[in-house]
Amino acid sequence: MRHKTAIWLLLPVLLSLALGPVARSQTQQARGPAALWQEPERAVRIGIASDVPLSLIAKDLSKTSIEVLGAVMVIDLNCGLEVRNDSARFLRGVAVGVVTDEHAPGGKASVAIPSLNVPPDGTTQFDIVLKLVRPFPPNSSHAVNLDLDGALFTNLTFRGPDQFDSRRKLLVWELEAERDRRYFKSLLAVGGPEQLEKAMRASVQRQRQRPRLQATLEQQLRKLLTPTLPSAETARRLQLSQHDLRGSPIEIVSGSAFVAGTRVSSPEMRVKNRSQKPVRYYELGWLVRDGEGTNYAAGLMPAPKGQSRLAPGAEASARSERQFVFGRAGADSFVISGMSGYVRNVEFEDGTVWIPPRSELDVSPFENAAAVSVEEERLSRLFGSRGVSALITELATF
Amino acid sequence: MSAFFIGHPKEIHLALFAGGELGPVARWRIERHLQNCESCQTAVSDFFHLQGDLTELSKLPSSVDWDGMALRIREAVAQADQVRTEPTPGFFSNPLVLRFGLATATALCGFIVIQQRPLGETPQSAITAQNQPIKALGGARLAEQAKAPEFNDGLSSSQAPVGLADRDLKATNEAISKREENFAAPQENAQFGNVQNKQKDLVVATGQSLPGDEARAFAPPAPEKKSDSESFRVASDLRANAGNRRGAGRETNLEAKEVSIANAPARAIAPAAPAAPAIQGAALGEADAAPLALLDQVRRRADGPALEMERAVADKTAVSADEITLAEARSETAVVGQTSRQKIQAGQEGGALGMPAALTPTSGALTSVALTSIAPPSRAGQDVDVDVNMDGGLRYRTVDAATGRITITDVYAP
Repeated sequence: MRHKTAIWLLLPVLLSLALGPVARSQTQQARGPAALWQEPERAVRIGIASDVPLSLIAKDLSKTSIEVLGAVMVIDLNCGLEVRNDSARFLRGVAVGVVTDEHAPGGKASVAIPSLNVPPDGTTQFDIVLKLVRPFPPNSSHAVNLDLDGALFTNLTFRGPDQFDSRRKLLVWELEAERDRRYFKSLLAVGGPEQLEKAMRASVQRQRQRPRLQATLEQQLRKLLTPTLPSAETARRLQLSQHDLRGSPIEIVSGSAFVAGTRVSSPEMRVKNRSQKPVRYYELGWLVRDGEGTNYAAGLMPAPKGQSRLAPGAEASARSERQFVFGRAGADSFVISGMSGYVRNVEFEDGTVWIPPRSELDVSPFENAAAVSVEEERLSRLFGSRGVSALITELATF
Repeated sequence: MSAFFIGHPKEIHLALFAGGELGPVARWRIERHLQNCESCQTAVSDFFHLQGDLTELSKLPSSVDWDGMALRIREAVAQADQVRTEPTPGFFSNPLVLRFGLATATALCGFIVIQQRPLGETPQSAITAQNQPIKALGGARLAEQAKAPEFNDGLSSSQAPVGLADRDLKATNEAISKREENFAAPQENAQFGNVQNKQKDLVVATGQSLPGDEARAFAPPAPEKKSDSESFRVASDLRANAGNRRGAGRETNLEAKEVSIANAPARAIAPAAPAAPAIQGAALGEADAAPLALLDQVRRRADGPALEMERAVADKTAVSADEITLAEARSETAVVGQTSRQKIQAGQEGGALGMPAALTPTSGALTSVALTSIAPPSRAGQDVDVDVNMDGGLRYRTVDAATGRITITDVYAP
């Protein structure tokens, strides 16, 4: 009897030992592909096209995290990259395309690092920090694709696939950088360090005092049930005034937008190519003026997709069907009393790019409303942290 | 009350209607109901305003095409043959616990059988007799499981017979195996080779960050991560503040509806183990609920930096007066896609060479602001400037105060 009881008690132990590995394997299987997709090393692909003279030295995805929420992946991308300049020229800028799903909102972005100065065989490190979403499971082998979209070198040489319009953007920033470095070098040559320091202080002050405007894109969700506007806010069409910058190959012929209170919808600008060269692309700036006459940068208006080519003398319209709400931080009300537009940059068919001369941007309304160039901001920060002597040394390296 | 509903539509449907997330038929039905139902009109109005509040408070990107996202999610759910439940790791998922529990249960059964055996009856007959009711009970439970209601709480009325479910499960599992074979490395294929008997479910995966092997020294330190509960508490405070600005009655509504929306996806997703055909039938409901789940999750994540900013505002020694004002304004409005600069940096007024604090690179004791879920998130010592692109995209200019490196990120509209 005792012997049989002992067998009955021993049997479960033996059974559990036998079934244990099965239970463990079931648990592992249950994690399944979702767990695999959450490994950044597997989910993120980093690629450099063969024609780009840069090589990937190191990557760091340890701070990247991926979550699967039902049928959606939320990717907190924090990727550190170190690349080596394998060309014989100085590296001036790098752009990386980030794609999770081209058709998902927030699934496509590009990250550019302008104002670099990396010598041949030198290395540089930069981070790509983005939050992205995409449907789950991905229909490709990687959840996130990071591809070097291009690199700009001295003499404005660009190499790369240029899927994200990186060439034009890097070129604009580099031209602005050259323009501003020339300006500060001329100040140094004419007035010495004192003049340079004075100009830098003015630049810092300008950046600090630049009035900011909150421009919010109207949500589609809200638009569905937006109540009828009160009669006091009935939309009126407001004409845009034009700032004709000297030397601009594009002229803003006319412009308008519907304004209802602080809401602005359907902005439109009509432009004309007054140069002798065909234009491939142009980008317009948009300023908004409040009741007190203060101008604010409201955003940028790109040329319409697929219709940006302009023959000499031709006209075209750039418009947006979106609706924006403007406001000012800390202010209860904001009254739009006027709007204006200007040409930020133009790319010709031959690949050359036009940017406004600095003298045109140092006058009203741009000097207070428009943001300074990337290079000027970088130099002013350098000046702020290390002083004018460090700035002079930095300018001498270019 | 109307001819299209017995009683009132469910709250989740009203919320989805307010967000424009319902399909045309469901939308039409609710519209007809709303014509005669004042209480539902009020509920929809509250939901609609809540959407706006959430939008502002959660710093979601204004360029998100929710309709497009819903469509994509529907497509993804329609392919739900590859998606299954990952059981939440818990006490009973531990193999040791399972093993011990099984052993204990079996031992108890054996003990009961031995102790209750009548005199003169053979052990074998006793065991057989004891097992009869157990078998009957097991059969009844199986029958109940076969008739179990859909996981979607009535959103779908389709109930597949067991045989059909099994057949579809088999086909679905084969599809999963193929997908996994394509995805997994050869050494992992063996790990996922025996998935044929797994039930299909929606994945409710817990996010986990897997440390990489190549941690490098050059990467700057990540900002202090706030717990979800902590962030959520601050988010609630922010919402409460927002409610106070609109009036006390509004606050109550805001909080109440917030709970409803937050719970809605959980109700839809939490019930376990629907068969594959049931998933297909309930795809619409799941797809509608998923954006809300994402909304809630993303809002909690985005509130982390808001918490840091709140602390910074509280600690007024860390920032200048201008920056406190800006930070407070940011806390209140949290508007996405603004051209104003989120310049929340540490440093005293008049830094090196008398420079204003906002432009003085510092050690980064304070942070910049995370703008959206689809944007460069905040990191210590960063300065972010945003440009609205009239075609719906956003351009961020981010400056790392420590290195002075400027990064420009374009996020494109779909």
